Amino acid sequence: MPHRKVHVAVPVASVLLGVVSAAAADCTADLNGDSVVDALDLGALLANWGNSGTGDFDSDGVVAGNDVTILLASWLEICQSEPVSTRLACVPLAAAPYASFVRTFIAGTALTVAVDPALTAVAAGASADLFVIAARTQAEWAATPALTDARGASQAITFAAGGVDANRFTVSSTGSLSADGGLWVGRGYDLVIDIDRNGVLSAGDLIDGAGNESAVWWCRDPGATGPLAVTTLSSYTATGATAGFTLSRLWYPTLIASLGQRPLVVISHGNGHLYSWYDYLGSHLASWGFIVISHQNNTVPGIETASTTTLQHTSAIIAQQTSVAGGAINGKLDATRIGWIGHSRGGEGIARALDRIYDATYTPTGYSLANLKFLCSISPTDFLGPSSAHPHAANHMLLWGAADGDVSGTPSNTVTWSFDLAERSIGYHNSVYVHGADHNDFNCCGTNDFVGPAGTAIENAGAQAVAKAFILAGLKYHLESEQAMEEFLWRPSATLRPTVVAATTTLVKELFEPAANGSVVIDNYQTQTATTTSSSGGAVTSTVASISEALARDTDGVYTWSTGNAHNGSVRAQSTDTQRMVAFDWNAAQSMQWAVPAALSDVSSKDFVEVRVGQGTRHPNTVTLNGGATFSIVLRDTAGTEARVSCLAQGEAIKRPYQRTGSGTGTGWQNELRTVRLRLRDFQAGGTGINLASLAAVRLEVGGTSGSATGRFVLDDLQFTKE
Amino acid sequence: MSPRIAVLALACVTLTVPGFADAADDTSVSALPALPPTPSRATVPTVVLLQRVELNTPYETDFRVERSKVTSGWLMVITGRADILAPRALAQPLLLAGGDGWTESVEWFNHGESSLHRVCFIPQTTEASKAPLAAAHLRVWFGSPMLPEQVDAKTLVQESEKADAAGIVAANPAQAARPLAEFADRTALIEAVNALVKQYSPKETQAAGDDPAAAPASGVVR
Repeated sequence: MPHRKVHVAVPVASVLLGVVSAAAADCTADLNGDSVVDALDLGALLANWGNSGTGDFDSDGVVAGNDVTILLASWLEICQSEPVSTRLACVPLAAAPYASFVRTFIAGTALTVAVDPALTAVAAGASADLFVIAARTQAEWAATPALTDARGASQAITFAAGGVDANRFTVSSTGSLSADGGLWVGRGYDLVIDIDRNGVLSAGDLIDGAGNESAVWWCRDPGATGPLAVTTLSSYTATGATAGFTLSRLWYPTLIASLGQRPLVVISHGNGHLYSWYDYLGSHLASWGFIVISHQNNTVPGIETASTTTLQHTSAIIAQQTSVAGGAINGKLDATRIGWIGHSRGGEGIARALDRIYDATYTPTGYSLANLKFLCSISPTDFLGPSSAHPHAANHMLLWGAADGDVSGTPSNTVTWSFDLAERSIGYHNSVYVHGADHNDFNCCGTNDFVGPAGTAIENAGAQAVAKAFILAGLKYHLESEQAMEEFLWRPSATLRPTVVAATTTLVKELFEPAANGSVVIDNYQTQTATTTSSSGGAVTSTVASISEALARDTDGVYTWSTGNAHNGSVRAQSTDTQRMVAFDWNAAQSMQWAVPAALSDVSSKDFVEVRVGQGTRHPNTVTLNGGATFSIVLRDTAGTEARVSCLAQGEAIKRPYQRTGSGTGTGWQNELRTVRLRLRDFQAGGTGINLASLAAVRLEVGGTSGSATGRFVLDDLQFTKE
Repeated sequence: MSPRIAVLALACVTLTVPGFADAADDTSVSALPALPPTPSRATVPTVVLLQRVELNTPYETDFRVERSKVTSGWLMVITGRADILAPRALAQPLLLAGGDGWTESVEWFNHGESSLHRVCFIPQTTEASKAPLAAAHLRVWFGSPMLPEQVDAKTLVQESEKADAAGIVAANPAQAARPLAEFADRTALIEAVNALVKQYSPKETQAAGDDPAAAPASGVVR
């Protein structure tokens, strides 16, 4: 029996100085070193029966009955001298790895705890107590190791023989857990499995949340109205704004006098829209503590003029806080934390406004580039291209409806390619692509421009529920550092869905974290343009068909599949953009493998291997598949050990493109990429023995037992990232 | 100085509004009107009000890439087709006006998709356009779809040539002419514009600067 090194269950006593340091159990009988005395050890003893050496505990030169007695005296003891830090909170999965370890849950949904006996020392048949504890910091755990369950009482659990699937436990009585985090959407809890049942965090206990992070964020619905009453100022006049565009509406928490300084959010409407059309969003954000304005936007001349009014109104409200609304927000507006939200031309306008500050062609008064913490472009145009409409390193979110009849994404008009902005961003950025939403669903009153399959329209209510939930998540994460919100930005709806968003609404999410956040890029296709070499310099070997690395740009103006247009359906790069991707197809068990350069081979400090993947629209294989596509990722270490995880480990397949027609023949709109994040821990599940400190290769497998039998993918940004 | 504007009530011009675009196929629907080809004689608007304006303080027009200084021009109200007037995120047809040897990029202040009336201002940026207007020679038309802020002198020449090729001729709006109005500055001009928007397109009062709390209706209710 090989020694199984515990990679992901980490003793934490070194940081929890105050925990009860119970004397470590006598681990002499732990023959296989897995930190528990059990049948495996007994088997090892019996295998050496009558001989000396292994199992000869009394050192009499022969393994005999007395040695069995010694072993049984330690039966099911856990051989740890410290508490063990591990991930416990999860969403259960139907297939391996059987648990998706996450932190964010919406109150009222199921909360599950899972233990992998292959990675964490637990004994089959042993019982323990599960505690849900109000979140403590590392220092608080050190000072107070006593376990107090927030539900009123702990919960007895019993470990079973087998793997993760046999050791998942539904947390009971979650109805008694408060999700009230004040102005935060969620409230944090830590999880402890009290192995020795002594009511104190002590040696051998399992803890999720030992550091300053919480094990669980128990959240209210970010799409639901927040805890604060809201006051609306119908309009005020902004000093210094372009003549004819001076009016703005203001929303703020009614009891703002009792609050500290609050971040500012500015809404810039689109062409033909009015500043009064975003009440749903302004009042929603104010109910969660933001000061929000929506201003007249000079969109008719174009993007430059729109950007000017955004810049002007932002300065104006900062300067006029002393007098607007009778001075109610005076001293309460935090101009160092600003979010800009723009719709349509206004969505491009905010990127242009930031670009002007970045280029130093415009100097705002009252704030600076560093204060712009978050930009959200809703269905933005792209008139200006990369030289002028650029989010640069700002945190950026794209929100876009697939049924948009105006900024449609048709390949014949690059102005309609909203994804250009997202692809251009070099900072933290994410996108939420909403099936069934049209351009004016994101305001109250614009013309119905829906274009899509009959029966798929989600109308204003559906789209605005999405906007409220995800814009709030982005603002809370970027402006208020609420960690609970980040999972909303990338987890598929199958495992995390705001309850105000209909279960039938398809959301396709992408998330990109820049290298500054600790990412290790294996291939982003920006350099090393040969298909046999990754951008990190490693060899790429593949058996898939029709490989093409190129600009993410549909070149023939229609979505009709054509072999001469390998990146058909990719409407993500103007001719002057640089965003490149790879595309390929398959009809059998095939793969693409990236060698990991030695300098990048230690990914043990990372949390995910991730890649952006979408189905190639209207390709014959996509049409044949006619549904979700699946694949697996295989990691191979330098010793040749391999571990495989299906993309379904995060809960969903890669959906087929929105089944919209037009722009050529066939069915299916643009390529919809989704970020698939697979937790590295999942590759160790069941004791694969993969050594993440010495990785040799990453392989994407399709067909056969690894995924869909046929298909075509566009793919980008294979990288290892931190949570 | 108070604007000296005398606006006459004009009978609405009834136009044939083209139907909305057909569905892409039997599984799709669309209510956004398709944009007709421009420039074309079929899309030429009718001028219903034209008034010479002088400004005491110049401003820079947003409807030219050169951001030319403006001290005079004409207030204008046109009526046109809904498919042309309907606002959209993508480029809309430029609104252009020309006379004897000049062409200008016309500013507009409301869209007019429901009233079919759009309130505009022809900024005079060249010496040629500042010459006495021969109303009989004035032509107003919708040009190529483009952002007005990207229009330059070359664009105007090209658009004029396209209009010639399309057979667009002067509209002879003499009957719509009004007396000279003088304004202190752009802000005063905007006040006059707003008054016209309220008269010709009352559903767009917010676009005309009304406090939405007091405005009767805003935008197009779906």
